[in-house]
Amino acid sequence: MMMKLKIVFLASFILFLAFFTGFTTSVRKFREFVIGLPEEIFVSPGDEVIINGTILNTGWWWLHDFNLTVTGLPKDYNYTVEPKWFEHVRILREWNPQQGVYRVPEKFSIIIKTPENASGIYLINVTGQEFQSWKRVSNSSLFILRVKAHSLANFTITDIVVPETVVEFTPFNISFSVNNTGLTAGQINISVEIPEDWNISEKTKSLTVEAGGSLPVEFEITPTNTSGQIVIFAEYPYRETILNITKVGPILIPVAMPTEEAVTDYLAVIKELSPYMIILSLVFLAIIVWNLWGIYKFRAARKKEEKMPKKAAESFVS
Amino acid sequence: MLTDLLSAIAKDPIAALTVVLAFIAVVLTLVRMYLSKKQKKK
Repeated sequence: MMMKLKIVFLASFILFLAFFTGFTTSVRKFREFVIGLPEEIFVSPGDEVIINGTILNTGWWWLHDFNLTVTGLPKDYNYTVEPKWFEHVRILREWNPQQGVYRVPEKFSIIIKTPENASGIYLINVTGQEFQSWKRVSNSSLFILRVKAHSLANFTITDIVVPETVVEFTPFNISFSVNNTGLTAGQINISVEIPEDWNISEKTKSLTVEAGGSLPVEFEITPTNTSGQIVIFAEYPYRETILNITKVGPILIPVAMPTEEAVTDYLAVIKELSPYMIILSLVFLAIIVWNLWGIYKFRAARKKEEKMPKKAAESFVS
Repeated sequence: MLTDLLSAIAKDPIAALTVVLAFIAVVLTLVRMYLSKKQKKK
């Protein structure tokens, strides 16, 4: 009996020891939390931005008297944190088939109003701290706030020059002007869509055009023997949107190089007639020889005639 | 058209030779005709 009691006592002690050791050496702390924020926020001068954040209680216990503070913003930036104070940061759990049981964070938002002349990049620190326990557990998280003015550039594409006829496998140029009619300098990305088997010097070009300025753009295109259409596509930011310009050109039907083809056609005919050409050459040669012989005979007869009167005169004198 | 034909001829030596011989033959024939006319007049 005593032996059985001893064994039960020993087993209970081992179990208690194992549980206690596991509990005390557990990774999870009594009080801990994580603040979740986006990595980077873009905002324009004079605009208001709402940043949504979360507080995930990852500890064993709820946190009480929890406060949020934001640091790193310039003095002339107005901001509010809603809510700034939590009575409890609870441990909330939900379940779904994919994740099983998971913890749900508490939510807060930071509303930042930037001044009209603001610009720059700021590293904003959001710190949370609970004030109920003697440990005053705190944690913080960072995000980057980029304040950049919107582009007010407005573009037009004019003076498009596309050749009326294009020759197969012979490069040709298309040119046009990119005009910025907006209030600020801006960047524009221009691309030319061509038939798949055609070649182009550059697929896209990125240009920066000053306000009121204009830049000429040229693309070199090499067509194949397939016909196709050229489409000029431009993309640029205007305020918070991306605007597009599309200019569709006429359908180009590349023509075969005329002279070369004619020459090759003639060459083919000449090659076919080659045996006859040799015979013709011999005939011409015979004509030449015959003519030369004839001319020689005429000359000889003329010399004879010239000598004859001389001889007659000599005989007359003697 | 004519330029194409000439450039094709220039590329083939036999054709080029035939043309040259034809030219010489024509010139010599004309010379011979001229000389025979001259002799007949005399």
